[in-house]
Amino acid sequence: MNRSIARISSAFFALCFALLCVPRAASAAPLWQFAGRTFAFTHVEKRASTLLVGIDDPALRRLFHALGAIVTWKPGARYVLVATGEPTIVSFAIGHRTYDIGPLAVRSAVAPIVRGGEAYLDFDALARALGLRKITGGAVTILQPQITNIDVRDEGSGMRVIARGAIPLQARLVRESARQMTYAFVGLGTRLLRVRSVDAGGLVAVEISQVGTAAHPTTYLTLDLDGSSHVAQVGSLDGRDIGFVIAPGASAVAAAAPVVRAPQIARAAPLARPSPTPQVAVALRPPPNAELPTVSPWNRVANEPLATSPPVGEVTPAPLVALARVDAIQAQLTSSGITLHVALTGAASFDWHHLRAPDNRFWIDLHGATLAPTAIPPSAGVPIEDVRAHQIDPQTVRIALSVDGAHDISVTPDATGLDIAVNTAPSLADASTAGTGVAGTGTPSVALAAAAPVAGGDPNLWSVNPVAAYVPTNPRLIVIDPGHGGSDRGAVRHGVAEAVLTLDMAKRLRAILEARGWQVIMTRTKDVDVYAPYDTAEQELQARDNIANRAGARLLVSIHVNAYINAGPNGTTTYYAKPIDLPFARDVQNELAAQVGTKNDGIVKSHLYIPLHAFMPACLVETAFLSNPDDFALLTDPAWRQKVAVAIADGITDYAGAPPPAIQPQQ
Amino acid sequence: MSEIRRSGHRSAAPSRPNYAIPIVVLLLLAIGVGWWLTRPHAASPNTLTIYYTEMDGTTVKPWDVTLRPRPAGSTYAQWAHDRALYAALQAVVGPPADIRAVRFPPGTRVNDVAIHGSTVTVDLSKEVESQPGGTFGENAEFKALVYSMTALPGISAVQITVDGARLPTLPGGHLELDEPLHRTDF
Repeated sequence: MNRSIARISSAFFALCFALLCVPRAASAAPLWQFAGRTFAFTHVEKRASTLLVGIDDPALRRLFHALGAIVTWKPGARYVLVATGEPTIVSFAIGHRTYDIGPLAVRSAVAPIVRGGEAYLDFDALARALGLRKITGGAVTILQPQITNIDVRDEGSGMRVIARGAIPLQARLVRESARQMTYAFVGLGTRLLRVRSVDAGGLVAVEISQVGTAAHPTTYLTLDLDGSSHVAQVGSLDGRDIGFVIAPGASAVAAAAPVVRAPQIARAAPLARPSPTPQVAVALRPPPNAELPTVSPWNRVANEPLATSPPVGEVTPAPLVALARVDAIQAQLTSSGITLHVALTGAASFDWHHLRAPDNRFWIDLHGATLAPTAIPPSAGVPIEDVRAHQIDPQTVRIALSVDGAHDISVTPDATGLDIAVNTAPSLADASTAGTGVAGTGTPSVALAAAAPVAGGDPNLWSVNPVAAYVPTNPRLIVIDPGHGGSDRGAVRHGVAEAVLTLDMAKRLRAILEARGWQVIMTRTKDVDVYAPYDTAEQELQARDNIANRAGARLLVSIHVNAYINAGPNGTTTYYAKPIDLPFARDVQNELAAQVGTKNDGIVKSHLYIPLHAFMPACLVETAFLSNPDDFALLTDPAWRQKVAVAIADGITDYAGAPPPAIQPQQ
Repeated sequence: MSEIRRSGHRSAAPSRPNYAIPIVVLLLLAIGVGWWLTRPHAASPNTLTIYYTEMDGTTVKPWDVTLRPRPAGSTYAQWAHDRALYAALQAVVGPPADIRAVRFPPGTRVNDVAIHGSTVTVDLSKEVESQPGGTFGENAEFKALVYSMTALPGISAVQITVDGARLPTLPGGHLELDEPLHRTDF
């Protein structure tokens, strides 16, 4: 009785509020209920009998928040983009009835409109896209969050059942036996009511049923097992789904399992690409394309160590050679398309790369060349969308083109330079191509050839930029940077902070290096900020680079600990940024991979501040993941941290050899 | 080709002047022109290639999304902006849930995008700063975003801003964001 009075009174107040705010909508303002809360929309428009709700409506904003949805629109924009928590992007276009839920095109009753600088959307369409079911009964319309998707996948090692819904799911184990496990999802309804037989991997069938009222629904998911398997794991992979892993083994394990298990990350069985069969999926979305193509040239760049690399870091004098000069870049229309003539004084070797659709990009690097100020790229014209020329390092000029489709591009060197011909006829070839050569009049000297390395062996490899020689003023000095510290704790898990672990490993590394005859400076020797407490990240990182740069150190190694939002990722990675970092990073990573026993995640190029702003070869070692239980155990073990220090020291030795002898002033 | 041959054969027969042939030819021509004008373009600008980074933290994979409906009478600049905004949002939201991908922190919004020459500025909301720590996520997230944005025609660089401000790095972060990012940075 009290409850109904409360409900009526809250409805009354909501109604009064609606009356005050938008008088014109007052008579039609219906009441809604979501997750036990009753509310009314105040920013409403009516078209025929269809309700449109403004995206700035406070109640709608709260609903979005509860569902983890984000709306993107500003006055003048054509599209109202709603990212659902699923995540799927729902795109409405102002004035169009067709809208998209991910890849599906759907039609709403009324097109979105703009009134008073606010976009109004057909609420039925919106609710559907958000995974809410409208249940009208009496004065209040209930918005029931739905379980929108239940997938069954055979992952080889076992079956996985994955449920997804409009809101984050919590599974409660309510009934268990050797042959049946039943989980309840409280507060969620579903239209997927059915029994689906699977008969694979020990899973006989998946049953879905719903009980309760429209306002307080509960959905049951029952896994029928054949007695030879058990539910090994229940956990969420991304916080919004619930996965059930069915693995072979005695069902006694299931009986011993706790009745309600907190969602935990399934790490024993890392998710491979889902096998599409057998699949029991009823979703707003078609199954994903299981055969996604890879982007070969970029993958290669990112993942594979380059085949050739010039001798780096060794203190060798820069070869004294006359550089060729790019004097002009001129465009000329031809019968088959357009040709860019690159006028060159002197000779330069080059390598070019052509990325096919969807990139449709081409670039050529002229090694041992400078760009004259007069060499202004011509303005673009069909089929060229963009031409750019720049000096990417003191000895290399890069000319890059974007073209408007899959065109053949050929490079012809001659005595005056080289021609880049873009053929407008559509090309049937779809592979990215690359090539090398020498252009210009002069005969390339031996020194020039040595100074201008091009990728050998595999022509698809992107050549390393020629090394700008770095000469350390103190070739005995190695700077160690323990990541984070002081006010910046870095990653923290279970009370263990990255800042503490990195300092410990750095001190161990210092001891080993000093024993091997190196001089060592640490950017910090205590748990403090290097620049100042609560400084900006830039001040902090630049202060660390400054220490190494000003000291003219031979090498800089920054020690870090990785982390991610879930426990999945693990292993050791060495990051680098500049070409001269690469061989150093590779040597360090090789030793880590050989000695510390974590997963070898390889070397990764990234735009990281520390190596980028260090003059000398530098790398950033992400030793292991605090967020992964196995890695966590290693990180908190001093013996393992000692192994890391030894491995990094060995990597430094592999790269730089023994330290040069100390200069003895008295001798 | 066969039409012409057939009609040639028919006109050889001595009978009344046949207007059917030119009418049929014109009709076919009209149909052909109609098809040509309305044919789905091979490289439809509605289809965008979005990249996500796999759970190894480095491998990028593409998937295609479509921005519909095709707007009538929009300027190229407006259409380019709409596509860039959609691409940025898709890249930040990530692929469908059943694809395992490294994702931006939950709640990260794309406030807006702006195209200047071959650089696109992507303005993200403060939520992007709530990184879990470590280079892994930052590197993978921005790699996917940069690959997605530079897949747009004419775009080669991506400038990141957070709530309108250029940041040298994320707080407590690792990646240099002050200058535009290119694919070659990863």
